[in-house]
Order: sequence, then structure tokens, then C-alpha cells
Amino acid sequence: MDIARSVTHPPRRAHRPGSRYTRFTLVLTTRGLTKRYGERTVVDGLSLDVERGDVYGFLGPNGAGKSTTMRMLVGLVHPTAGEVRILGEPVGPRARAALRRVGAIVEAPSFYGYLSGRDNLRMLADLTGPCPASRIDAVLDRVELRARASDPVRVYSHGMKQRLAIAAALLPAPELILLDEPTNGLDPMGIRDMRALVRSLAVDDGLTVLLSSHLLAEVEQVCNRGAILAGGKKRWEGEVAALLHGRRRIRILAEPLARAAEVVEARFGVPLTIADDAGWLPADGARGAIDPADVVDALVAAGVRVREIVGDAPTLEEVFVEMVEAAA
Amino acid sequence: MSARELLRCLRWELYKLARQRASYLGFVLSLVFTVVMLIGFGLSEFKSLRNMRLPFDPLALINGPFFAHFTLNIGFFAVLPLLAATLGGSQLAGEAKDGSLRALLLRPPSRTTVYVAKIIATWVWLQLNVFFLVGLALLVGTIAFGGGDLLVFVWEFRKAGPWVVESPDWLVTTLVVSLGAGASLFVICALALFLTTLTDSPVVAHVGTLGAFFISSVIQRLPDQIISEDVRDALPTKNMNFWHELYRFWHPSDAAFDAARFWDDVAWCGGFIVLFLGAGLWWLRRKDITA
Repeated sequence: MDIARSVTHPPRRAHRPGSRYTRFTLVLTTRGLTKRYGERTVVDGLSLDVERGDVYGFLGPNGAGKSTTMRMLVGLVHPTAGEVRILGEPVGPRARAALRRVGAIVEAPSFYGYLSGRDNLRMLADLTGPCPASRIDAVLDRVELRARASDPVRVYSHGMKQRLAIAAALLPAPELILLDEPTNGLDPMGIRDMRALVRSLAVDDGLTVLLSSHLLAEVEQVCNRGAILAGGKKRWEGEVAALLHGRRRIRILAEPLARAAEVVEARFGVPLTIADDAGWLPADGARGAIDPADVVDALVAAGVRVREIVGDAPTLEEVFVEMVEAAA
Repeated sequence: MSARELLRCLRWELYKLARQRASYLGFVLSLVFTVVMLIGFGLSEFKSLRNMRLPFDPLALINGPFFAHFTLNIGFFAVLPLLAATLGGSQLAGEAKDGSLRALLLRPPSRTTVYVAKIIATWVWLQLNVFFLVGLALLVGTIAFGGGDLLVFVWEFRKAGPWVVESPDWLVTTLVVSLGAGASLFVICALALFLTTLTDSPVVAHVGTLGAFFISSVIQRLPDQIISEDVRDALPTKNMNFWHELYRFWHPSDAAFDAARFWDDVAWCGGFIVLFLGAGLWWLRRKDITA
């Protein structure tokens, strides 16, 4: 698959000046969205704002309520309270019109295994509304599945099904794409291609994307804005870059570490924390972002032997625990 | 629910049934059943018919048309309920199990439209199964026993005795009673279509439907001392025999057709169908799709 080559950089904001997209139009909003099963509250008063052109990361650990939220967004699950609006129109199990402008993958890609990829798309296209045959070829080309489009889906690999699901989501020429953990179950190459494809949907096609994930690194690579959900509640919403600012670290394996700490503090003005036989340095120092190459240069110049130096970002769990602790 | 949207959904539901191997299980079972019936028929001495005093020789009318109707009457209780239960029960639960229900229901057509399309597609496929069984039995029976007039011998009317429908009138008889049998079997399909909305497991829907059919059949046959006539009258299996009455349209006596009994049974069956499908639709519309 050659999708990665067509995309060179992730978008921070996919708006194009002068395009038909208006920068601050809200494509998707939820207000007080709540889902309870008996006594258990799965999603609790969730309010989200996804702007046109956003690649919006919907982050949360497993069981946070992401999939339930995604299902409420497309009307598969009835909210107990609150509302969903897509492009200003309400959405729910009985309000379907707005879904004509939405492409969605909810959980694992699922198709009729006994039908070919093309037949699956023909059916989904027909159920969505008028769709010329050329559109099906176009989306198959987009995900590079045209050569296998006549094969029954049951012989597709998971990655191919995932790409077919993207093709299905693109069929109605949507303005909003909802992707529920699209890299789940993919091999490393598949993950790379899928992330590149998601970026490309925003950059090349100008689509608004809502992507749910439990991987902070994935959201960091792909998304410009996002929210963190845990225990059914929104814990944070904003720019992804702001979420990670001050949380990136540089891990240093050097000898002697004590000497390395002196050099780093003198050169960059930040203390080196020593833990687990390694030195840890905030990547965003008091004098601006610290380039690991500068750290290597400084240490080598001071006669410190550098064994390894690696940029390190916190996991979602670490960020989440930090947020909860800060709130407490 | 717009008519255009419904037609689109119906077209694809029929297409899915036509392309799914499992949909042909019913046809294969019908084929096996017909062969078994043929063997049994060939070995039968037809004692019941032989001992009747009739103005014609019933044994001379043991032919293809008779075999086809005999197969339909036995198949109605033996193999066709199984087909009806599996066909109806697989509709939503089968899709929920495979995950395709999600893909289907996040498209613009409403759940009502999808459900109604599935109901119609199920009825069409069930009716095709019935026609296939009768047509196959007619073909095989005619090859094995020859053609001729139709001897109508329905066990329910055995006291009145059999009668003959001449060729080619029996073709219409066959068509009408096949449609009647299909409509009657749709009571089972409707129950399965209700259960299929409750569960994400097609097996539960199949077993639940067949279990209910079996229990109703057993209760229907319990003696009067145990079960009151009012309860018996309300059982689906009691009323599902309405299609037998259709044979009496072609009885030599014009007074044979019991319109009151026919319409009473049709009303009961129609009521059951509306009840089951209405409950299924109500539940589907409020159900959270979590599979």
C-alpha cells in the first residue's frame, strides 16, 4: 500500500483559507450526552465540540465509554439524556437524515462475508442515497482495494477489511468521518498505513475526522484536537499539543550519571532526575524545547559517555493518572 | 419510511438471501425430505384409502399430484416449520452475530424500514421454499407414479372422505393451498422475527421459535380434561390449519367450505402475526445496538 508516501506531514489544522469550509463551524456537537444501563453510568454528561477540519482524537482507556459514545453519535444506542447534533441536525435512532453526510466505522469492520467487497459497497451506497458507480471505483482506488474488489470479503485480511470499511465510510462523500479505534488488530505496517490514510483524509480531502483511540501516541501523530474520557466523563478537551506540552521527556543512559546531571543542569537550566538507572530530562525546558542532539553534544564535550538517549512521551494512563491526581 | 427506501432495502435483503449459502439449507432439506417421502410412499400400502367405500378407485389416483400434496401436508409439520424458524430467526440475530447489523443500521434507512424489508424478504423466501417443495414433489411424483387428477385426502377431513379435483383444475388448487400453507407458516416466521430482535444469537431465536411451536403442538393435543377448549382455540398451531380449508373450495359439494371456521382461523393467525411483528418492531426501535 502506498498511502503513506502521499502524505508527508500531519495536519495541525486542516482548514484551507478560501475553501468552502468555514473555520469555526461546529460539525459535531454533543451536549450533556449521558448513557446509563440500570444503575451504571457509562457516559456521563459529555459535551464535545468538533470543528470543521479537525482531526479530533477521542481518547480514553479501555472501558472509558468511547465506543458507547461513538454508537450514540450514529444512532445505534439511545442516549439516556442529552443530544447529538451533526452539521446542526439532531441525530438519533429516529433522526437519520444527518447520517447521509457522515461516514463511520464503529468497532471492528463488519461486512457480508459472502458478498464481494464491491457488492458490499454497492449495497451500502444504495442504502445511503444516490451514488454513481464511478464513486465506488473512486473509493476503492482511494484505499487501494480495486484489484481485490471482486473477491468475497470472507477472504480479506483484517487490514483489507479495515480499508474496505474506510471505503464504505467515504462512499456518501461525507463531511464528517467517525473512526472507532481504526488501528485495532492491524500489524505495524497496517497501523502506519491507516494513520497515514486518516491524515490524508483531513489534509487531502478536507474532511473532519473524529478518531477514538486508547493510544496517546496515535492521537499525537494524527490529531490536532481531542478530548480525554475516563469513567464516562470528559477529563480534558483541547489542542493535543497543549496536552503533551511539558510532559515529554528525554531519557539518558550515560556514565557517570551524576556528572551528566551537573552538565545538563548547567547547560539547559533544568534538573536531571535519576530513576531506574537512567536520567530523565523534561523535553520542554525552561529555555525552550530541548533538542536531544544538543544534550548529546553537551555530554560528550564534558567527557560523559553516552550510551543511549531517547525522546519519551507519557502514556495515556500516565497523563490520566496525573490529571486525576492534580484534580484531587 | 418512504416506499423508495423500503424497495431499496427489500432488494438488498432478497439479494443477501439469494447469495447466502445458508439460505439454501431449506431447499436441500426439502430435497432430502422429498426423497424420504418418496421411499415411504413407494412402500406404503395405503390401508386407509383401501378400506374406504368410494364411488371411484382411490388407488388409481396414487400419482404425482397426490404425492405432491401428501408431501406438503406432512412437510407442513415436519420440515417446513424448521425452515420458517431458521429463516426468520437468522434475520437480525444472524446479522448481529456477524456484526453487519451495525453497518446496516448506521445508514440513513430507519430501523422500521429495515425491519419491514426483512419481513417481506422472509415471507418471499419462505414462500419460495414451499413452492420448491411442492414443485419438486410434483416432478418426482409424476416421474415415479405418473400424472392425472388430484385425489384430495386431508387427514382432518378423513371422516368426510377424499374427493377428486380434475386436471388441470388441480394446478390452481396446488397454487392456492401452497400460498395458504406459506401464509400459515408465516406465523412461525413472525415469532422468529420477534425473537430475533431480542437476542444477538440466531441459535437462541431458532430454538426459542421451535420450542414454542413444539409446546403449542403438544398442548393442542392434550385431552379436554387437562386443557380447556378456549385455551386450545387460542393456540397458534390450532389455527394454522386454516389452509386445509382451502382444499374444500374444490369439493364437489358447494356447501363444504366452512367460511366461518376459515376466517376465524385466519383472524387468529393474522392476529398472532401482527402481535409478534409489532412487538418485534417496538423492541427493535428502542433497542441499543451493542453487538
